[in-house]
Amino acid sequence: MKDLVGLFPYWAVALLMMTGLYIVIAQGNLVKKLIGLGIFQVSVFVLYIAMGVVSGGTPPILETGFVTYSNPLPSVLILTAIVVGVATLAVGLALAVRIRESFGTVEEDELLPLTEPEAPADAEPHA
Amino acid sequence: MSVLDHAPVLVVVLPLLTAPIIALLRSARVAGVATFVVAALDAALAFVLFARTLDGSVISYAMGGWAPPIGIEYRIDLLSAVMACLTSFSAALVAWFLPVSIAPEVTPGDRPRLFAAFLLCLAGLTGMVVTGDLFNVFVFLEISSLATYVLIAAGAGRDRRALTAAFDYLILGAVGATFVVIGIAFLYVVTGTLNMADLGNRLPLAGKRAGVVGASFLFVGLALKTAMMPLHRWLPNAYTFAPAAVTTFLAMTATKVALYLMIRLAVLVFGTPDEIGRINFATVLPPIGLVMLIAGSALAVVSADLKRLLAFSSIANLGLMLVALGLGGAAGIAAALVNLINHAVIKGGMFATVAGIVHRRGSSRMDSLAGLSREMPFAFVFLMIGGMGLIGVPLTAGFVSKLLVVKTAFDLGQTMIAAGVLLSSLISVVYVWRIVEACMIAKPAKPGRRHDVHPIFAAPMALLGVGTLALGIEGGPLLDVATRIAAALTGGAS
Repeated sequence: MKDLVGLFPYWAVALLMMTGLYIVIAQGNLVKKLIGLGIFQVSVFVLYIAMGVVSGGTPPILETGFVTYSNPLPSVLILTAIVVGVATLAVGLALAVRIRESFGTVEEDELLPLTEPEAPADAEPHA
Repeated sequence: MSVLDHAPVLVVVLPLLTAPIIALLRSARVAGVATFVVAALDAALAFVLFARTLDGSVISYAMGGWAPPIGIEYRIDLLSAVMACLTSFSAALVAWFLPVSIAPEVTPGDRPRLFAAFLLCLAGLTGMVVTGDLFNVFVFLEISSLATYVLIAAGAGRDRRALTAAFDYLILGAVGATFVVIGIAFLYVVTGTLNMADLGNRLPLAGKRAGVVGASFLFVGLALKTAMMPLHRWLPNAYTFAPAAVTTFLAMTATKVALYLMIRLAVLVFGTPDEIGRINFATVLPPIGLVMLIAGSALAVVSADLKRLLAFSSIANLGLMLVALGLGGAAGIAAALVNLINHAVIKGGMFATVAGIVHRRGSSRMDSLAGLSREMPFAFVFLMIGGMGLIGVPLTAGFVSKLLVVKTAFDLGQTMIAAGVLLSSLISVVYVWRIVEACMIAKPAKPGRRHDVHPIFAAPMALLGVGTLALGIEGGPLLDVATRIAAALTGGAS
């Protein structure tokens, strides 16, 4: 019980991580895949932030009277990772839009016959 | 303090800062020239690093004057310098013909932004090899990956499947990179530091379990970027549908840098050339490498497209590098490094030639190669030199690579590995013969007149082709450098 409550953030991380990864693998819709990827990445953000917390600690601001404060480094690192996540999502969605324009679908099972190695090489009309 | 003392950071910052400027340029022609100039300057900086570390000294550059391990450290030894030379020289060679090569695929308005993505990719790859900070590795990994997705998607101007290839790689690459961050998180939890050398000092003392978990995450993330089977799914499509110039650059650098990271992490963080955490190279890598060697070669035989054929051949050659690394110790690292450089030169030369062929013929399908030996003899000759290199014919770089692996395997009594390498060479004879057949024997629908590659492709093709022969005729200097690197990494014990 103590583990369940005390390690709650990490249970949440594991749950989010597996949910995200499952969506990436199981979903055939490219946009849903990206959503799964987003959830997967968010779980890592939580992992970093949770490990920086010091129990009883204050935010890491120098002020007289406060001696215990949380580790700011993981939060700073994760700012970078959030930016990376946003960029990945942006590139991914841009590609999904182009795929939709070019193939007329973002469903993986409909894309498969159009993208196999032997399919005819059509140039993308918008390029 | 001279400017060159800042070379460790300039080699990354130069392409990183010039990329947005080039993206804003109006003229595609100016942007193309600027891209080449930046890549060439970057190569010069990397060469300075190489010259300064050749005697075995290690350059430590404290970012912003904050002393490591608190501040971010760029740490350059001979291995980093050689890898930085590989990425930047490859970039310079490719940037030379990039503007001509992508002209049919990308509109002039989009070209400056494509060149910017190319330079960002270079900055990311170079950053990964010079930094001494683990989180920096992740950031540079993502910079290069994001740029790579864009570069691959640019192939949509010729074949719309480039879009799905880029998307698939984006999903897999992002999952792989996230695995790397998770691994870094565990190592940070255990040690409280991100500096790789400092991590190495603290890790054996700290509680082992979280460190082992982190190491496993790191290994899987890097395995994906190395295209280690069964995580190789992204590579064939990405190489086939990306613009040929982009494929040339990726084949020469991207997977190799991931392999470098594997060596670096094992040696610097986990303190042994044979393991990442509990993942023992000697037990894990040879089986995977042998499967990649055989299956990659076999899949190359049945490919209907020259770029796909060469992509599967790349998987086979990555398998060879993993096998070499799995042989263990200084000898294994030296063999892996020699293979890495040789294969970059061979495959770079072949893909540059393919870029020239695609530029003329509009396709790299095997059936569109008919009549190539008569109509494009120059391209055919360099395709053949590369093909000989892939088989491992004596007097080519491939011979030196394979001989080294086979010899090291025999020295260690690993006859199975030696047999597997030789078997894959036999299969590679078949797929190289398929190229010969498609170019020489297949009858073209209508015989064309002689119309060889655009002259701009000649210089990179010739340089890499001659390099393939030179490294095969005189393999000593490269082996010497590789042995020195391996000895330095493993603390002199060989």
